[in-house]
Amino acid sequence: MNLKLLSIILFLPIQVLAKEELKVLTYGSFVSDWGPGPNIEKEFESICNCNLIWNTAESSGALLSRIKLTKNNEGYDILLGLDDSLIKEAEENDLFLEHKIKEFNLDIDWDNKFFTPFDYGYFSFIYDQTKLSSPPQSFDELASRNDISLIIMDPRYSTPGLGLAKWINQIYQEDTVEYWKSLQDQIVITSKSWSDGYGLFLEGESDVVLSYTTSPAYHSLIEDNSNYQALNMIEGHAIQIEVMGILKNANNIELARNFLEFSLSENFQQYIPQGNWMYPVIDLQNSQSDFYSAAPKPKSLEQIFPSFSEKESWILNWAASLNE
Amino acid sequence: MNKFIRYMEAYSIRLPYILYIGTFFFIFISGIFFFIQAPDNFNFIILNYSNAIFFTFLQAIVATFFSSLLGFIFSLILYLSGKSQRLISAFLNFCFILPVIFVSFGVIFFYSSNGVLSRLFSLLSLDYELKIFSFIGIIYVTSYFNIAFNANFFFRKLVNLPENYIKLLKSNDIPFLTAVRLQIRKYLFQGYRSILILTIIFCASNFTILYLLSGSPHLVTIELSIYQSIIFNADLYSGITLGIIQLILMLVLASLIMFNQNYDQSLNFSKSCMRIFSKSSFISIGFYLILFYFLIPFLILIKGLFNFNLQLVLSPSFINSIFNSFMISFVSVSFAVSISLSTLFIYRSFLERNSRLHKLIFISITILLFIPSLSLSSIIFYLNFNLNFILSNFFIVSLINSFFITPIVFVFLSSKFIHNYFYEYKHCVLLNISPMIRIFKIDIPKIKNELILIISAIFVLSLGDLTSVTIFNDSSFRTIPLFISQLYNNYKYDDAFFILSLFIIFLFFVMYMPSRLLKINA
Repeated sequence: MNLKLLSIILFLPIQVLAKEELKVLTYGSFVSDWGPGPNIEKEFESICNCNLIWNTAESSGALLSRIKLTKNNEGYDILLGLDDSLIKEAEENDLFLEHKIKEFNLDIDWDNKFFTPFDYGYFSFIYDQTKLSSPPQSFDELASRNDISLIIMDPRYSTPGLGLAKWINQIYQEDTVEYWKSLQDQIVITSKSWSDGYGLFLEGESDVVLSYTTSPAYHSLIEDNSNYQALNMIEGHAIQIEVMGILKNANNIELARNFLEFSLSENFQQYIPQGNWMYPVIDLQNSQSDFYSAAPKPKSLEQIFPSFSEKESWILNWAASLNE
Repeated sequence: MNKFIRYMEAYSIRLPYILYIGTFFFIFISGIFFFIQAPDNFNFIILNYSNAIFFTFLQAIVATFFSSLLGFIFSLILYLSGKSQRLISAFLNFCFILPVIFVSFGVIFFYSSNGVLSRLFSLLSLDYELKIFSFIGIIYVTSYFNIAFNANFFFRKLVNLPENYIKLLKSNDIPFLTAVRLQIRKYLFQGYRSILILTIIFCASNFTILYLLSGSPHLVTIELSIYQSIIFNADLYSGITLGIIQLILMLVLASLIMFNQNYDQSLNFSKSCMRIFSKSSFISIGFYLILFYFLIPFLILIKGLFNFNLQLVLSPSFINSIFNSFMISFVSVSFAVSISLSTLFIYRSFLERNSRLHKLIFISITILLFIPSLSLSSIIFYLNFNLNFILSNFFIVSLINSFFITPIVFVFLSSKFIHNYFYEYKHCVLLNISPMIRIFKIDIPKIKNELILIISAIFVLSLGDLTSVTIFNDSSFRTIPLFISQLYNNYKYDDAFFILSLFIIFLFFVMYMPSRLLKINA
C-alpha cells in the first residue's frame, strides 16, 4: 500500500470517519426493549447516516427537572417526552429552540413554535370487569362508591398524576378541593410514577387505577385479555399530549430538526400505538385498526396549556385535601 | 538513605487515606461554596419537611424497637435449638446483607393483595386485608435486615458463653432462661449500645425501602424528600439542606457511639455449649418459624427459576448491567479496602505513639456512616456539573459506594488489625522491619480471613445497591438492581423475578465460597 495513503488514514482524526450523533433525552420506557425507541432508532438511522443515541431520565416528570438542573451541559440535542402540562414551564425557562416546521397535518390541533407532538392519549381509570361489575360513569359516582379502591399518582412527580389534577380542576373548578376530599378515603396508594401505580393495580392492590383509555388495548392485543376496561366518564376525559423539542445548546441542530420532521411521519408514528400505547398524532386508522378498535377515543375535554402558577394551584388543591 | 526509603514506604501506605481525606474535604468545601452561591430566591421552609423529618425518626424508632426485641428473642431460640452455630451465624449475616430490592420484592410477592398469603386466605375463604405498601410494609422490610443484624450480635455473644458456666447451670438445674434473666442479660447487652445506635441509623437511612414501598404522600422520609427535590424539582439546595439536617440529627446519635467502638468481633466455635440443654418442642417450633420468617423473601426464587428466559440473559441490556455492576463493585471494593488498610495503619501508628489523634482518625472514617448518600450524591452532581461533566457516572457511583462501605471494612477489621499492636511494634523496631514489610508480611496475613470475608460481604452489598445509582442512572449506565427494578416497573414480573433469582444465587455463592474455603464463620 502507498505509504502516504496509509499514514493519512492512520493520522486522520477519528471524528472525520465517525458518523454524526443525535443525542435524545427521554424517559426509560420509551427506549426499553419493549418500547418504540429501538424500532424508531433503526428507521431513523437508515435514512440519516447518523447514530441516534438515547439517554434516559427517571421518568417523564423528571425530564424537565434534569435539563433545568444541568442547563443541558450534558449536550443533548432533543428532549422527548414532556407533556402539555409542562410546555409553558419549559418555555418560561428559555431552554428550547424553535423547530421551524411550518405546517402540521395532525389528528389533533397543534400550534406551538418550540415543540412538536409525537403522541397523545386520554386519562382514564382502568378496572378489571371480572372484579368490578358495575363501574361508575361519572366522577360524582366514583367518589360516592366507597367500595371502590383507587390508585393514583402523585401530581408533584408524575405527569398522569398532574393530569388527574388538571382533569378534576377542569370539571370541578372552584369545588376542586372539596372533590379531592371526597375521594381521599378511596385512594389506597399514591404512587410516584405511572408504572409503579399500574403495576400495583395489576398485582391486585386496588379496584381501579389512573391510566389512559389506551391501556386496555395492551392487555387485549398483547395478552389476549379483555378483562381490563377504561371507565367512560360522562363529564369527558382530559387529554395528554406528549411532545419533543430541540434544546438550546444542541450540538447538531439540523439533524435535530430532521428528527422532529421524521417524528411526524408514518415511519415514526407506526411504532407509537403498540410501542408506547398511545394514539399516534397522524391518522393510522387503516394500518392500525386493531389498536383503534381496542382503544376507542372517549369524549374529550378542552385542551389546555397551564402556566407554572396554574399547575402549582392544581397541586395545591390536591395537597389541601391531604391535610384533612 | 534507609530512613528515606522507610519514610517513602510509610507515606505510600498513608496515601489512600490522604487522598480520601482530601476528596472528603474537597466535597465538603464545594458544598459550602455551593450554598454561598445559592440564588436570592432560594427559600428553605423547614415546616414543609416537618412531616418527612418526623416520619424518618418515627419509622426508625419503631423498626429499631422490633429489631431489638425480635433479634434478642430469635437469638435465644436459635441458640437453644442446638443447630450448627456456624450455619446460623452465616445465614443471619447473609440475610443482613441481602439486597433491599430482593427482600422488598420477596415481601411483596408473599404479602401483597395478589400474593401467596392472600391466595392461601382465599383458598380458606378468609378475608385478606393486609396492605404491604404502607407503614406496616416499610417497618416489616426495614426490620427484616436489622432483626438479622441484632440476632447475630446476641447469638455471637451466646455462643461465647463459657462451657463451664453452662455445665454449672445444668448441674444446679437452673433453667437457661432464668439464667438469662438473672445473670447473662448484662453480658449479652454489653456493647449493645453501639449496635442499637447503628440499628437506628440503618433504619433511618432506608431510602430504597421507602422508594419501593411508600404508597402515600405521608410516608416520606428525609432521604426520599432529598431524592424528590433533586430528581423532580431540580432543587439541589433543598436536597443538600435536608441532608445536613439528617446529618446533624444522626450525629447527635453518633456522639453516643463514637467513643464506644470496642465491641467484640471474635468468635470461638470450638466448643458447642448449648447441646447440654434438652430441647423443648416450643424451641423447635420457634426455630422453624424463625427460619420460615427469614426464608419468606426466598420464595421468589421458586417463581423466578420457573420463568427461565435465555433471551433475556443474552440481551445487551442485561449483559451491560452485569458488566456495570461488577465493575462498580470491583472498583468500590478496591477503593474501600485500600482506604481502610491505610487508615488502620495510621490509626495504629497513633495508638503506638499513645496519641489521642487516633480518635480523630476513627471519626474521620465512621462519619461516612451518618451522611445520607443522596446528599453526597447531590453535592457530587453539582461538582460534576461545574466541571462540565468530566466525571463519568460509573466513577461517581463507584466513589459514593466506596465511601459508604469503607467504614464497614474499617470497623470490621479494626480489632484484629490492632490486636497485640504494642508487642508487634516493639518487635518491628527491634528487628528493624519496614512499614511495607509489616503491612504485607505481618498485618495482611494476620487479618487474611477477616479480609476475605469482609471483601465478599461488601462486594455483595455494593452489587445490591440501589441508592446513588437512582440519581446517576441513564440508558447507557444501568446496574443489575436497577435493571430488575425497571423490569418490575414495566410489569415484566416474571423476568424481574427470574433475574432477581439468578442474582441472589450468584450472591449466595459469593458469600458462601470464601467461608467454605476458609472453613470459618462467615
